[in-house]
Amino acid sequence: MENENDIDQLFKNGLSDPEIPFNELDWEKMERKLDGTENKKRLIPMWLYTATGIAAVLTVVLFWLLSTPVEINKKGGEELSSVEPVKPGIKKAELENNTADLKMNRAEHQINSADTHIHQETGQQFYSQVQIAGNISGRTTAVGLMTEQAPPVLPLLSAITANDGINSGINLMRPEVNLQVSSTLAHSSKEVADVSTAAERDRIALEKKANALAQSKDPFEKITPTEIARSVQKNMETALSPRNTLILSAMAAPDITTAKPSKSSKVSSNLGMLATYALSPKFSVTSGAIYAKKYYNSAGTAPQDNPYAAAQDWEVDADCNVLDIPLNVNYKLLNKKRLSVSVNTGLSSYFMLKEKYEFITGAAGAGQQVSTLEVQNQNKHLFGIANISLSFDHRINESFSVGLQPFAKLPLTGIGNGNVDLKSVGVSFSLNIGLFPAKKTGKYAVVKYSSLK
Amino acid sequence: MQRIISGCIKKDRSSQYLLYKEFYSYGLAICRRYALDDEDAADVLNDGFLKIFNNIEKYDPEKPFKSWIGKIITNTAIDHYRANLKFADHEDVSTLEHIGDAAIVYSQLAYKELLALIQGLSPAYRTVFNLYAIDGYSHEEIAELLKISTGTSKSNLFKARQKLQEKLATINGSLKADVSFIARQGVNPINVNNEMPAKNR
Repeated sequence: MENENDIDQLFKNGLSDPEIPFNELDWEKMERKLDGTENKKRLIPMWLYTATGIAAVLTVVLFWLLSTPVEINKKGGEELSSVEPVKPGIKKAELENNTADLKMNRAEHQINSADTHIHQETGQQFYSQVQIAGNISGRTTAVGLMTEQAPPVLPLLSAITANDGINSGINLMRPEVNLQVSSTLAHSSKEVADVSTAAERDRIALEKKANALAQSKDPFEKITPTEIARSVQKNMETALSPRNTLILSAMAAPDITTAKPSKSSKVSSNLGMLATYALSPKFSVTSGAIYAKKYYNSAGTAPQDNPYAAAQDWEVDADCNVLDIPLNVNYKLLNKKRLSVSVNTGLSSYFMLKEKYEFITGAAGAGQQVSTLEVQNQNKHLFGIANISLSFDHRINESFSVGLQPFAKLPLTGIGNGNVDLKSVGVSFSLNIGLFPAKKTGKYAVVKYSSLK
Repeated sequence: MQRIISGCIKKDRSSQYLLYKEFYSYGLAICRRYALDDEDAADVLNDGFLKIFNNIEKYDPEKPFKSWIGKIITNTAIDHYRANLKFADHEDVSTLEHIGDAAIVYSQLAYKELLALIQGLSPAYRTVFNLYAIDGYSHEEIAELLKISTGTSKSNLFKARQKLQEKLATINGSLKADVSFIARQGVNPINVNNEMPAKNR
């Protein structure tokens, strides 16, 4: 059966050991496959890592947001404990009772000083907010009107103390003593000479309404003093904190991007749009999109285990188009009239849109080999880069400012196809436009508030 | 090579690269023979290498590394096309027609042409022919690997040779007349197998 042997032999000889040229692209696919299996194993730690980072940022923000009210409550509580509790069930006939009057007066004094101070700071805005708050609105109307002409009673009283005053005042207004408080307040307000009749009518109407609401048997209608206290406190905080402001920035930044070991570096460029949202006078968060064209190279003698050029002279030139999505937290260190300085930190995600590599191996001359590799949309590094920068902003007018920002971008993971330790250092120039600027009253209040501190 | 293998055990990427590059041609040649086309072959090759990299610590250094790799890649290729392997019922090989005696004429055929011929076979014929004629498996081993009977393996090999012979004949139409003849009755194909030259295992 020679013919069968022949066929087998023909194919065996012809097919068993061909020289198939090596295709670098197949290795690229292989690497992705290997990365895929490794990534699956690493999935949980990576998630934990990312989640921890986000949690840390949130904690800082929440801590800041919550720390102020906590302090107020604590102090408010202390203040309240010094005020003797009013006996429950005091009858209307006991209205003129001296002890009660004294207590009311004390509370009134606190309200008075607090109101005066707050009014001085936040102006008409706060006035209207407190008015909405209900029970004490009648009193506030009077005080508000009165203090408009009056000098501040306690100009150096800190805002926190002012809050305490309000808190104790409100806490005195339990349903059982409600009428007394209102009456006392009404009584004292009559003493204010220049109260307009319209304001007086409003006051009476609101007073009646507040009492009715506080004593209502309908659970849906009834407003408890704690609700009122909470409402006032919330409005206080809103009044004292700055308006949230959104700042849009257009930025351009040259940088030097390096991967070790580096021979020479061309200047890379970044162009982007960013939005900054102010959480407070000091803290803000920034995000946006930056398109970066990164040039870098790696050169020298390749390590012994380098697959492209083991222990040979080599050079890798890279030209990458990267979409950089940063998420940064900014803390204002200095806020002068025109200049503000912030320190910024956060994480960036790199989306490698296009990566072009040129591998040059061997000594210069005839022996030199150049091979290229180009991949598109193959690598993304979610929160793989740490950002750190210092920004200097110079205010031109109410809405516009220009910024200068030296920055560094440090990799937390290998970047790009070669998993390189890619660092960028540069300076960003930006033009910033403030949208939804703070209302003047609020703004001035904040300025005054911070100067009082 | 030992250094590369131990590097691969440590999941060192450059060792993996070196190993991949070293056995790329060898592995891809196997895959191409079993695959439908070259593109598919590269996918199968990478699947095979993934198994190699993930199981490299199981390699017994006493045995030849190349055949260990070859076996994994072959098995990967077979697994890849297992769903497509539709074997005809066992036929008595002795009743089959033997075709062709002019194969030697085509010994100068290039790799690509031979590959095209093999890829043109049905998956079942291709797999058995590859395993037996090129990779040197016995019918028993093929039967076990493909979960078929030895008889089915033999008949598929026979039909594969027949198809290849026909195709070879069509390539050179002038020889068509010479390639077809009735095989002698009573030839036991097992004897044919025994006459095969040393297998490359």
